[in-house]
Amino acid sequence: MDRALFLRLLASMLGGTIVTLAALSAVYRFTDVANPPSIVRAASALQLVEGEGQKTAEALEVTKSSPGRPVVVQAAVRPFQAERFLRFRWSVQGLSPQQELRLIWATSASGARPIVRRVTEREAGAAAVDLSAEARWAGEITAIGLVVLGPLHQPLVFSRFLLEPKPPTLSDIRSEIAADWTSKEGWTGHSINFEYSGRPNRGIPPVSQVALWLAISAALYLAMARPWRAPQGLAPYLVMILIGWGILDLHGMSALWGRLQETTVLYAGKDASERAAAGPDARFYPFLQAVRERISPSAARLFILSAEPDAYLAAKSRFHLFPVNSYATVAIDRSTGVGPGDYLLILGAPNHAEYDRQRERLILGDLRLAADLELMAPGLGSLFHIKAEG
Amino acid sequence: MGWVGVVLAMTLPGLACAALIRRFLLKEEPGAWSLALGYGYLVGMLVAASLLRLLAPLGLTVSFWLALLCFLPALAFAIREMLPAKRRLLGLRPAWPLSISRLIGWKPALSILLLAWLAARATILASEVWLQPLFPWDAWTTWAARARVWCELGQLVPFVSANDWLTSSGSGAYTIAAWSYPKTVSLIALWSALAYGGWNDTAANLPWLGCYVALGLGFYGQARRWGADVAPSLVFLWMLLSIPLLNVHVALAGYADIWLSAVFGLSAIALVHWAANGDPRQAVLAAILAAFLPFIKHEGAVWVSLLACAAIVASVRPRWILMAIAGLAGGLGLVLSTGGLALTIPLLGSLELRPDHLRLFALAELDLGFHNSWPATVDNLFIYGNWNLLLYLLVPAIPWGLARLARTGDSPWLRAELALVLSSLAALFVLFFLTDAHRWAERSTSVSRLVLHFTPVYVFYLFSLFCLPRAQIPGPSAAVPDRA
Repeated sequence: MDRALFLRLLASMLGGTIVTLAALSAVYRFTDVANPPSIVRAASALQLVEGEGQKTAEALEVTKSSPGRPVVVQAAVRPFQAERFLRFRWSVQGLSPQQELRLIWATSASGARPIVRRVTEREAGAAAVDLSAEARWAGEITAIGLVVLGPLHQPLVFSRFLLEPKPPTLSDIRSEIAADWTSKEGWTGHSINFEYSGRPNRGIPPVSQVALWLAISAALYLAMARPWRAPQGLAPYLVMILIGWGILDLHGMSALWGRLQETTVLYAGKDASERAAAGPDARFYPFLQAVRERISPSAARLFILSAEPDAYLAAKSRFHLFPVNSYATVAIDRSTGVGPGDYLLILGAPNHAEYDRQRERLILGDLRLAADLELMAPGLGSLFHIKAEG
Repeated sequence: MGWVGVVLAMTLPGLACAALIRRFLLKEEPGAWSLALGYGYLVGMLVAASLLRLLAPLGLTVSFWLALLCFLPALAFAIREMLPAKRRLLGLRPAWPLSISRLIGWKPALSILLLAWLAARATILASEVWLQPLFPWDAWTTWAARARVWCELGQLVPFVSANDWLTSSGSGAYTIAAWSYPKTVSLIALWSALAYGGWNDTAANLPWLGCYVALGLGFYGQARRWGADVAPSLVFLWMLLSIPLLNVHVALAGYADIWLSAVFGLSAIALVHWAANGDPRQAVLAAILAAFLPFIKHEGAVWVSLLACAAIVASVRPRWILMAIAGLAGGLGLVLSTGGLALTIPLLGSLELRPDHLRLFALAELDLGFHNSWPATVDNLFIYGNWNLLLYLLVPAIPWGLARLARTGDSPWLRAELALVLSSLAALFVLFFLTDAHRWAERSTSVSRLVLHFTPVYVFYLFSLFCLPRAQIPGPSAAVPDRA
């Protein structure tokens, strides 16, 4: 590779890096890929704390204030961190210049005592308050509302309260990009179907970031090399592709290594049975081992009654119980063909199954079966052995 | 026999088939042993599974040992054929000693680095296979479920539908939801479990690690036979073996998709070789592996048709291909506009095609209609971390290949590759956008696993755009990177 080519390649990759970082910063700054969405409270989520009025689907209309008291409207919110939302907006019709507004809120620390902040004329005109400089806007916010002081000459129509997220700073953006690359997920049920790269439903996945870098770097190199003037080789592009591939592969290997650490902690040094009892089936595996010991492999059949026969518990139970010949179902009736010699494992507590201990009878809706209770584990299930009548 | 038995069960069939392939199908060319070992392992495990099924009436323990012993004469014969005296007579020469001067330079350094990195990855994956109990859903509901039942009972009991199970008390049949799935992958898990001496998750999963290594060996061998040097061959091998979802299917062993990926992929690559240089031995390799595809997963039967299509496209002049495509499109349009067609073909069954319904013999019965699966498809192909940059590169590589085909004129291997790439993408589009399978796409349960089947083909396609085949390089020497 000659010197000029090398310098062009280096320049294009550096340029690609700068442009990519700028593009990512813009995306993080101006979109909600990593920012929390605004908290919007429409009229249906507004409560009239002081005053008289009525609520429709579109608005909360306040027609009268309580004697000697201001109008207070509060928004129902889940607690949130103050520093993530720094601007409060409202949509209220009917306000007059003679009325004063107060913003009130409560935090986990302040308890039931609200914190009150006067709304300036300018803020009232803009229908928005910037809380970035408000020292008392800190901690976990548990309630927020608006107070209207002054005589009510016309109804006040409250449509909406809105809390806007804080625009991310460069430091925030740097942290978000770092989080995209350092977020790790262990083995989950979806791993076999797809792999998340980055944070699920948040941020920009590393593969997209590298693809963007590659496209920009390649375009810059193309512009510098001007192959339309003289044919050139593909080697520089291949170098960029391999660097991008290598970066993502480093990330992938790091994830594999992290998962192996978790696997090692869970299972190293254990035999097959101990591993089954140590993993995600730890809660019910010992019970299933006891069930398996009660059933002879050459016995007729095992019916597994479960509210969710295709869900994890019932399906995995079948595997752990092999070679017991089993079938999982949501209901047992005459057509199922359960008969003497069969076993019935009821997982959880399906509400249509009862056992009469005195008569040794299993009642499944209209079906009554003579059965011995072989095993019971509260919260897990019960094993019955169906016997002949009489 | 424990772990010694497992090692024997995984190596003997592979070595026997590798030795036979090496002796009868390959000349002394770069990558020959790598290719032989890769293809040999896959063929060996598939043949072992087939023998197990054939001999099952004798009881599984007996059938396992008989099947294992079947490989001994094959291995002995192949080794005898490769003894030094015979090798000299046949013009074969030893590969050692290696000149130390060949280890100096950036290419050897890169090669050593890549090999070390691949070894590190294989070690991590092997550790997961060793420690992790059976994890993914379809493994313990289907593929390993059958293997475990057969292993614990010592016989190949039938699996039937739930209705048949309920009405056949005492028959000894079992039931699972996917009772009709082909048995081969379950038999592979059973093979190593029998070698262990009883059911063991790790023993059953170890062949999946072997499949991954075999895929790598076969790919590398084919890349070297294509004419590429060690370094570029290792680079593309690294690209293939570092595909994240492929790694997951090794670490969380138990699904059939990696087998389909390896078998289809290496069969397709052999087919491309045949198209490039007319070597009938590559055609034999492609055919042997392709024959097993319908017995791995149902869609394997459809993927065989993609191989057949690629073979035809490689053999027929481009003019005829365009005419055939036009004729097919016209015929399809005519059939659909007149209400569809329904045929019964002896031995195969019913074929029905209507605008809203497709029945493809016993393989599939699907309601047709457009479903907007783009969001989920784009997520799976480009947003999730399944493929590294592979699919981002495939998008421009397709028009690049088409442009090169138009520019260079007659290039059977490129026609075959483009046929494989385009037909696979078309098959996936039909499946996830025009049939009920769109639900699988929306839940992201199948899209990526089906794309995994074609991943080796896509990587080899990219490789071949970079390295022309030796047959197309004028004069002696290995292939050089292609210049645009």
